[in-house]
Amino acid sequence: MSEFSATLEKVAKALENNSKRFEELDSAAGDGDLGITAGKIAEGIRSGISLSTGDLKADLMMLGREISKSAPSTFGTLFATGFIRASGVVSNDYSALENAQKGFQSAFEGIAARGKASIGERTLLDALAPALTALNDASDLRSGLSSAAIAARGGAKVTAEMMPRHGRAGWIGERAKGLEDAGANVIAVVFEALQ
Amino acid sequence: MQKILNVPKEFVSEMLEGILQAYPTQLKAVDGDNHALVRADAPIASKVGIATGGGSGHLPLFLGYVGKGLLDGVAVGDVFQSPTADQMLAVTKQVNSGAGVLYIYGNYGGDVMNFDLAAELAGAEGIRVETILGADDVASAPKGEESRRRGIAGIFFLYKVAGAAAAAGKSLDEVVAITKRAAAQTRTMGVALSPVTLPTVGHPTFEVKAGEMEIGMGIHGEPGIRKAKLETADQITSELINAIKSDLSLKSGDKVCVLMNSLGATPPEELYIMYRQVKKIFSGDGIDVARVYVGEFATSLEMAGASISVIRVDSEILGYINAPAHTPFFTQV
Repeated sequence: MSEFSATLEKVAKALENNSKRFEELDSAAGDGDLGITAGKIAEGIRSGISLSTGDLKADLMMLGREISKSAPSTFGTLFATGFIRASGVVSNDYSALENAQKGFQSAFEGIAARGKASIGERTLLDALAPALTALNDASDLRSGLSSAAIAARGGAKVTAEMMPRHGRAGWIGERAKGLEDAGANVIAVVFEALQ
Repeated sequence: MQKILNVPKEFVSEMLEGILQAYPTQLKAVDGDNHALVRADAPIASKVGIATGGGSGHLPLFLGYVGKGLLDGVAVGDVFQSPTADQMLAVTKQVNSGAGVLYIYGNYGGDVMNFDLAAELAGAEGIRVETILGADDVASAPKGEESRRRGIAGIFFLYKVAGAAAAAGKSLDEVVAITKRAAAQTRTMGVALSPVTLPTVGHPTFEVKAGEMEIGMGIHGEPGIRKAKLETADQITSELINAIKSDLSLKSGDKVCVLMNSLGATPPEELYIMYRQVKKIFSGDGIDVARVYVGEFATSLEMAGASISVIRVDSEILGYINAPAHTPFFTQV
C-alpha cells in the first residue's frame, strides 16, 4: 500500500471510530444520520483506495466518485465534491505541500459553492478554513498537516458558539448553540488522521 | 397501514421491477440499475437529451414522463429521497447523443446537490449539461424570492415544452431558452386535505386533521401558508387561482394552459368541480384557456388534495404543449 493509500486508510478508520460522536452531535441539531454517513464515507474511501492507479489526479477523482456513490446524503455529496474539485488542480506529486494547498483550496471553494454556505454559518467550512490557512502558512507538508489538524480542531470548537443557518440545524436556531457542529467535527477528525 | 405491500423497504425496488416488466419495449434500466431508467431507444441520434430525477412517491412524476416527445431518462430515488449523483450520471451518459443534455427537476436541496455533482462529472467526461429547476410553487416563498420556491406539478409544462422542442430538433441552447421562458410563466398553488404514510414509517409523519385543509402544503408535507376548516370547492379554487393570477400578473387577453392535478386520493370528479370555478374566474377576467389537463400528474402517495398549475403561453410555447407525446404514463395525440 502506498503512503497516500495508508494515510487515507487512517482517515477511514478515524471516521468509523468517531461515528458515535458524530451521531450524538448530529442528533442534537440535525437529523442524526451523520454517524452513518461517516461510515459510508469510510466505505467510499476504501473503495477508492482499492482502485488507486498511482496518479494523484485520477486517485482523487476516483475517491470522490466512490464516496458520492457510497454516501449520497448531503454531507457525503459535499465531502465527495471536495475530492473531485481537488482532483482538478493538483499535479502528480503526492508529497508536495503546494498540491495540498491547492487541493484543499479548491475543495473549500467547491464545497462552499455547492452547499451555498460561507464561513461563520456553523458548517464544515468553519473547520476547513482554518486548516487551509495553517497549510498555506506552512513550509513543508508534514508540519503543515500537523498545524492544520490543530487549526481544524480549533475551528470545530468555535462552531459551538455559532448560529446555524443550514439544514435542519438552521430551523432549530438557538437550540443548536453550545454544541459543536457535527460536520466541522468530521473535518477535524479527518485532519487529525492526515497528520 | 392500509397499503398493499410485501416488504415495506422494498417498496421502490418492487415498484420499479413492476414498471419495467409492464413496459419492456418503452423503458430500460442503465447498467442493471433500475434506479437509472431511460427510453428503450435512448440515445436518440442528434437529439438533445432531457433528463430528470427525484424521489419516489409522486407517480407519474418523475419516471412517467420518460418517452417520446418528453424526457429521455430519469434517476429514481427512494420515497421522498434524492437519487445519487452516480445514478444521474449513468442516465446522463446513456441519453447523450452528442447534442448535450438538459436536466429539468424540482428545486429541492438534496436533488440540486446530487445533480449538480452529476453535471460536473458528466462535464469532466465531455458531456455538456445545462440545468433548469422547476420552482413553480407560489406558496413556498414570497414574490421576489422565486429562486427559493419548490418545484411541484407545474414542472409538467417544462417537460412538455422542453421535450417537444428537443424532439423538433432544436439545439441545447434553443431548448434551454424556450424552457426558461416556459418556467418563468408557470405557477402552481395546492391544497392538502390529508397526510401521507411512508411505507417504511407506517404512520403519518405530519398532520392534516379531519375536516381541515392546509393551503400551500408541499408534496412532502412541508408546511403551507394557511390551515383552516375545509371550505367549498369554489372557495378553495378561488383562493388558489387568485394567488396564481396575482403572482403571474395575469391580465385580460392573456392565453393560458391549466393543469388540474390530484395529489393522489382526490378523484377526478372533484378536479372537474374545481375546474368549473377556474373557467368561471378566467372567463370573467378575459383570460383565454387554450388547453386543460385534468388528472394525476404529480402526486404525494395517497394524499388527498389538489393543485392547480397555470402557464401563460405564446404561440411558440403553446405549439410545443400541443405537440404529440407518448410515454407509459402519458399520451397525447
